[in-house]
Amino acid sequence: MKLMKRFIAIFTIFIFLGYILVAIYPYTPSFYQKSYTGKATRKIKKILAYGALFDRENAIISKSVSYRFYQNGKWQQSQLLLEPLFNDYVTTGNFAALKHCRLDVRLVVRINQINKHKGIIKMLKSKEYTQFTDHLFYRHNQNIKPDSLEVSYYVKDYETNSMNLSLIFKCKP
Amino acid sequence: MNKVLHKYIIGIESCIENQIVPDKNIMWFRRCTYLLLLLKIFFIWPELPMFYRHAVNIGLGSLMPYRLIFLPLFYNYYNIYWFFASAIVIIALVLNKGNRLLSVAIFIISINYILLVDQSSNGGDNLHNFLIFMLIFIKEGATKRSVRQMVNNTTILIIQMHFCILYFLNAFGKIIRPFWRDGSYFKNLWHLLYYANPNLTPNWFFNPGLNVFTGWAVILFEFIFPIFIWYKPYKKLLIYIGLFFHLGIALFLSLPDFGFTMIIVYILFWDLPTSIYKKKKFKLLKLAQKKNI
Repeated sequence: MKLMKRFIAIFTIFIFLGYILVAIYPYTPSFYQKSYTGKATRKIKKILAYGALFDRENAIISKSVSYRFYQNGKWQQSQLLLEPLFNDYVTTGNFAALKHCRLDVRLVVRINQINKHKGIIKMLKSKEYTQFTDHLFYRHNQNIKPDSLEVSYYVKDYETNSMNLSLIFKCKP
Repeated sequence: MNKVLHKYIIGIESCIENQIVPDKNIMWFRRCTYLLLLLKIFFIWPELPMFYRHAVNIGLGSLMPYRLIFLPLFYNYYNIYWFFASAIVIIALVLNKGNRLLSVAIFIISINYILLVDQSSNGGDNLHNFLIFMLIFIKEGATKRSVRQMVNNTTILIIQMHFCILYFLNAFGKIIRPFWRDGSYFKNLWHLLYYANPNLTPNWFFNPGLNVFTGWAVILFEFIFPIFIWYKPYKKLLIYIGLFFHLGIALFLSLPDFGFTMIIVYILFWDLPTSIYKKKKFKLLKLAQKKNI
């Protein structure tokens, strides 16, 4: 019994040491973060959702996305991607709509980031773009692949109440 | 060095032997954790086809037990699987008092959920999954000073420490950011589309002075909580403030899953009142002892 108690205590100490390692990870030097242990620590950190939340400046940037399809020989009316879903959650409490809204935000933010860092050609060839369009056609166009697609991504400046265009592209999927 | 280490080991030993969270707390903690999972399973159902399709598209299927559902074999049966998953969670909610097999099954279902909503999940889903994982090691009805009791105590101590360190990290992460210190975080936050709930956010929330105050109040709370929660006189007050804080996150910031996960953890810090029946029984026992003397 005493031995068991000692074993559990030592095990707990190791767990706490692990916690400290994960906690200080963002403040470790870059060579550690690039190492195998560093990568493993980052993965654990992500699984445990360990670290500061609500501390990224990017998270407080308002985005607005509109899209339109070219099908049946004409451009259809432009539609907002995120607002209807969030409004559904706000008015009816539909949690699935909130999660759907979050998924759409994540997909569109990822293609915007690829466009920013690697350019539009690489973005159009990326798997993130395929995931985005696949989802867009399935859920927002009744699983019909349109002849052409246009997506506009705006960043909202609430002080001037203006929308600044961050990404726009037209393509044949 | 050896002496210091020995001191630490003895300290932890006494902690895991003596720190007793009543079965009542554990029972409510388990129930609330599983209930939240059940609600998430039910609420996500209307969009299940879309989430499932997306999860399959990003290649989540494999032979790992928690990824089996995303294999081609199950493409037409995911609704049935989801039905059985919810049934298992209901069974666990009603009957489970620490059955390991059932707890593992719930954990697998929780990972299924996480994988399904991965792209749309926030930290709350992962924290909730962590709690479900830790519940595998907790069993109600442990006798005093038994191994089971020690494992329970260790697990609960790890959960408590996890959330205390999380609070501290958050406070530190915030205080080093200028936009938290000058209140501009909240100034932007209340205008944030898809997070700030416009139906619930009153106009006075946009007051610049209040934004600075709220920012510092959050930082202060997150610094204070991990230290003072261990002292009885401050416990209740901190839990009440925390409840208010996380309910605010759940409602105003449209993060219900995150807010409620954090609230559930407070059960492990809360001293649940002993029932009147138990108090009477205790008094009778004391009386009987006195008479014997």
